[in-house]
Amino acid sequence: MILKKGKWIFLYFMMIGHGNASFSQTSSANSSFVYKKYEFILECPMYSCDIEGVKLSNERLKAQIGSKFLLIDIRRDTCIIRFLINSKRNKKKRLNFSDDDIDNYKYFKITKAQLDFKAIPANTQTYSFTLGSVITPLKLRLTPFDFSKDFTIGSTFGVKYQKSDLAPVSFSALLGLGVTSVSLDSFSTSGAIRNRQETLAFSPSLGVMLEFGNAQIGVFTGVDMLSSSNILFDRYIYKNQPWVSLGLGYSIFNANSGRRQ
Amino acid sequence: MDFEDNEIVLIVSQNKINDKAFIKYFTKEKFELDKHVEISDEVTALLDCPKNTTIPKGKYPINEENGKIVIRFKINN
Repeated sequence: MILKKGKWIFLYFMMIGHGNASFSQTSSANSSFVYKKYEFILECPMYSCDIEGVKLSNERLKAQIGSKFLLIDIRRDTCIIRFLINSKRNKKKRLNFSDDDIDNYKYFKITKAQLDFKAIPANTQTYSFTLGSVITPLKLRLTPFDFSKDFTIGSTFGVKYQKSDLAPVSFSALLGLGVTSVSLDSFSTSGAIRNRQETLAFSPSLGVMLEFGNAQIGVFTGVDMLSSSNILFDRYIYKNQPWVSLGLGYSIFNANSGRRQ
Repeated sequence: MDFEDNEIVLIVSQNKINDKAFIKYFTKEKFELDKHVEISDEVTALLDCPKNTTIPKGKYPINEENGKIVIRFKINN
């Protein structure tokens, strides 16, 4: 019996799948062209200028690879940029200067061709809200060990972390709410019934998911909660016992798909 | 410079540094110290921080507050 179950566990890992549609709160790359964040992917020559693009020095400077900047303005073939420095978000640690230096920002000019060739839009917002659905066709139950084809379908939502737009790997922490079909039999009810029967249960879950491009892998755990009006409510041996489900999936819908250029 | 909560805070106005230094040190997300830096006694006295203070090598986040560049160095006493 144990060996037989071992074979099924392999199949179980292969079969579980879930889809997740992500809806990022970051603005679309096509929404606004001015004041957008970019990142240099190649060293780029540039000149110091004022906010209107008037050259302040003939000294040729070189932007560093990986530095991020805001596109302030485009005038004919010239782009006026300002390097992007993170704003302090922790209010407790802010120094609260009485004066400010926003009039003293340094601006630089590069050509439009260099912007197109040497810079890419920078995704500096790394956390976003994600909403989708998860399907777990099979579950592992641990005490006592068993697996079942109890099918759960429901919605998930949570926080998605993406390090950068250049690395299309994201990590999501998800909370799921769903309904599952629970198989009740002699084993799972300690002999309370002899004939196998199906019943519905509420199935909240927690999970984490890694997404590589459109491919996804996730681990979920949750509990199947029978209705208290069910006569087998107290006899169900997995009452309040967590199940574990591992999933491989492929995202079909993704609201961020048009963000990269 | 300032000293508070075991940190030395470097505050830089963009108009006080030349363009090359700005681009080299302050246009990345982190300021990189490639070796430990010992703070001289004169500076520790001015900042009212302990003598023999050292800023360990490492990468320190660069932030902007009111247009000024702010870097907080965790120090070793």
